[in-house]
Amino acid sequence: MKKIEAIIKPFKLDDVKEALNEMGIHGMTVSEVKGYGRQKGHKEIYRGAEYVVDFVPKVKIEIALNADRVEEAVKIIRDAAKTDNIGDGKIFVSSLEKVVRVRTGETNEDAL
Amino acid sequence: MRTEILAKELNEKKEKLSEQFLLREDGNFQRKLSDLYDEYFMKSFEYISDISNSLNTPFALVALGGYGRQEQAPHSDIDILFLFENKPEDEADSIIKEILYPLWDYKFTIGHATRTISECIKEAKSDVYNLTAMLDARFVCGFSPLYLKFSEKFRNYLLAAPKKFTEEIILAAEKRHAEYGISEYLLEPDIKNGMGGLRDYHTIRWIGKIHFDLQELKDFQYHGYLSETEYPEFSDSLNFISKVRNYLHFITKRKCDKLHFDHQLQIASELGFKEKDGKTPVENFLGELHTRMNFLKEFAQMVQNEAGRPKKLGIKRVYKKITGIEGLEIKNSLIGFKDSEKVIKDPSLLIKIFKESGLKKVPLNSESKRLVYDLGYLIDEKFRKNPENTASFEKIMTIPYMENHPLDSMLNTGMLSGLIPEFADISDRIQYNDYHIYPVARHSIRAVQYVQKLISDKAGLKNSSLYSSVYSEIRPKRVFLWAVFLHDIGKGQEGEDHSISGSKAVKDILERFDMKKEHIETVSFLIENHLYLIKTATRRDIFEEETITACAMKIKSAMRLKMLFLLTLADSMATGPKAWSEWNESLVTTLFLKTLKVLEKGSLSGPNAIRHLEKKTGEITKVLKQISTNAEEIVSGMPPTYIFELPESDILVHAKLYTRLIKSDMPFVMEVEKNKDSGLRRVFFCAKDRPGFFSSAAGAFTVNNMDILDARAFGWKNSIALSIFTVTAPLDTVYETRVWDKTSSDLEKSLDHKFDLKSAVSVRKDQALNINDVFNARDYVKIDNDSSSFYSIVEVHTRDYPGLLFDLTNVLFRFGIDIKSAKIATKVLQVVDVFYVSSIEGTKLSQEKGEIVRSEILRELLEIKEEKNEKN
Repeated sequence: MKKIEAIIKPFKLDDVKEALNEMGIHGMTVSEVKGYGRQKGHKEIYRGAEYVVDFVPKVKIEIALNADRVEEAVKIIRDAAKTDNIGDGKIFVSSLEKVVRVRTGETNEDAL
Repeated sequence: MRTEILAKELNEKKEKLSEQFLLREDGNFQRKLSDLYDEYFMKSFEYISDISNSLNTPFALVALGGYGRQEQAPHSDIDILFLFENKPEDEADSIIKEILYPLWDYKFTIGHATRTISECIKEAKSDVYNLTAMLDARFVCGFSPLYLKFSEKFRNYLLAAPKKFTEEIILAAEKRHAEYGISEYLLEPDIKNGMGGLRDYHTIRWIGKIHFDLQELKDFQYHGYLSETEYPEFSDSLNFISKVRNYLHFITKRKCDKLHFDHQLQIASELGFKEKDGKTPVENFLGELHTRMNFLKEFAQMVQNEAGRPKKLGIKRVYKKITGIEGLEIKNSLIGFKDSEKVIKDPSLLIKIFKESGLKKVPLNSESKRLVYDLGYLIDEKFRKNPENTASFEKIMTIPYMENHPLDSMLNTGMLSGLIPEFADISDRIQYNDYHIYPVARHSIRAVQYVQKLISDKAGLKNSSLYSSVYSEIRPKRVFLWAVFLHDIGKGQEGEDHSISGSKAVKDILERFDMKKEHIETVSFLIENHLYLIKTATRRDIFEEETITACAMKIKSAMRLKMLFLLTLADSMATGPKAWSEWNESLVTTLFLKTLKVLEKGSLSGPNAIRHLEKKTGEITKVLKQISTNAEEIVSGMPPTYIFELPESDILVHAKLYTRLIKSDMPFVMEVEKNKDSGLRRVFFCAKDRPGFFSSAAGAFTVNNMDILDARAFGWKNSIALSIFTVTAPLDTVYETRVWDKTSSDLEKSLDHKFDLKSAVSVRKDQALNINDVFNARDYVKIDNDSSSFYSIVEVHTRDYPGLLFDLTNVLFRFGIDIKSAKIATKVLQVVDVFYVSSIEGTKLSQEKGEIVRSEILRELLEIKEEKNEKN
């Protein structure tokens, strides 16, 4: 079992969600996050005063899934989130030790 | 334990009572539950009389708190006081054990205390909560003379400093409101502790206890706090809210007073709410709950304002303040009408009183509220057409504080729906979704208040200086405030998108107030688009020029954009924490600033630019349709700045070239336009975009002995590069076509790396550069990162020489810099070249990179000078 964390541009959320849905992934956790990588913040000037954005708003998607579907999911996220510009985001994949569904107590694959 | 059987009996009876309640067979649950507890205590007192009698001090059982008021909610604590004449000896313990232990065994939660009368007074002194618990004291069983003695002592204690106690109680209420939020407006209200919750009723009950020894609720009417018609509303509201609390306890099986979303649906159906007027049962339920809690809140506030002040307690000084308005007076920090006759003669007092109330920060007294309500019929067409009244209302919208805002009192007294009848449709409309925490009317009022909060540096918002700077430029402010106030007015109607229906409805409303047509248009526009910025900011790529230009084209004027920006912020903040976060704020603000730059500084600024652009786009599409089937697609690929800056004829040349290009497998197609009168040629290119194309084209002209006088480069969205070069005519004008074929083939070969353009250019340079003084002028290179939101602007001033453009663009190419557009202008031998560039990743150049590029260009220019100087 793997967990995918993808940091993407906010306006790409719907595209990514839809693409994952088509692949049969219907559950995900989405959060509004801020940060920076190569795309540093930016500043705008208004009437001589600077408006600085240090951390760029992004969306983080988290999904847990079977290891055999990871490659496909990563590709799908990447295709959907791509604009070819800087700041398109990153995808992290990590291993999951255990998954429990709260309502039923099912574990691991059954709980995914 | 002997009392165990009694506890078992009590438990069974309670369960039965609960069942009856849930089957809706019993209306007076709380009183009956309290009676059951009474019964238990009385019986158990009998059971243990042998122990009691052995004590040498008499005692009594006294109910406190909710149990004392005989308002026992299913899972609330049973507060019981064991009141002793003297300090009891150890045997007293066994009494308490006998009475309480069985209750604990049956999982009743009990709050108990053992005190003498003097200890009671001491406790009351130490803590306002003890004081208020004892204000609800009620004799249950035991030695009654002892209770009477306690009652009298406690009463005397209260009467020694009624003002102080009242203040303490009010202070505790204010603290509680601050802690639990303004629950009345929250979609998950706290039925007990929130504003308009049951604690508000307890609070005024305690105040009534202190002031006129309140015995029953009717006493409020008797003492003039409620009119005959208001009393039933008060008692109905209490019953309703208590009932909701009972259900909440039953459903959660514990003492839970917060009405979570999960429970709302169930309680709505338990209470028998049905679908009505297009609203779901739960919306109707919340609507009624809100009305009830609001009534309670208003009433509690009123009692606190009036009884909380000491006038009825023999303090003779009455504080009067002059209002400066004939017919209004301020007494004891409350504003009121001098007499009702005056109001009938001059109805404008009905709105002036709210304005004064806001400006002087004094709430309306209860008589004047009642009067406003009763005289609502005076607000007619004539009233609304009176500019003085409109001005008063507009002033009210700028009043900065949040609590006790005159707009709230206007809503509660029916003044708002008098002024704007459409407002009645949204007054109690609850939106059942995750985002809004306020009912629509409250939300509208909050939005107006948040405008003032946004621009105030006291509110501690990070960007308040930006917001206040934007606000200070808004003209006219009143028009903007109307838009904020009415932005959700469309929610009263069914069906259509509320932004659209609101933008229509507002026209009728504002015409009634005689607002100028252009201003009405502005308000209507703002309402129709009040969600546009937030949607664009979260769903579009705001770092793409197209997004920003589309946004600018939609909004068209900088003034409207500023208004829309602040409206968006105020609306989001008033919607609640789920809709508002620094995350959204950052996106919306960035969108705003970028769009504003386009509208104020870009080539698209100016009052008619956008309209002109729309017209031109339409015309081009029309003409193109005659030559191409996918005209619309082609036009939609053209960036607005491109359409704006190029003449229609040039764009059509490009479009034709484009249709040729996509049919061929050539990397580019070109067309030469001859000008008969001058020796100049204009050469159009349409190419599949690739780094270095512009530079290579410039080189190809140089190699073929043509000087470049002007050049423009543009990119279309679909990776197509367009450029137009104005060059001197080839030397051989007779066989000109041959020259063009040669130029074209040189360019093609160099793109394929089959031709060394650089050396060819320098050969040509050597031939041409024989003039000594050309290079004495100073070179100047500037990198501007501020003027455009998307591109760095590289500006080069130097003396012209053949191959200059090739050299410059070649430097940019070497650094992986993309030329988005270029303006080349030559005057005699002086050149000003301006390049709009971005990095390959589509961002502006970093400061470091810009600096490197700048020095590299200067070095390149210097090198050529030195080469020449050497040769000379």
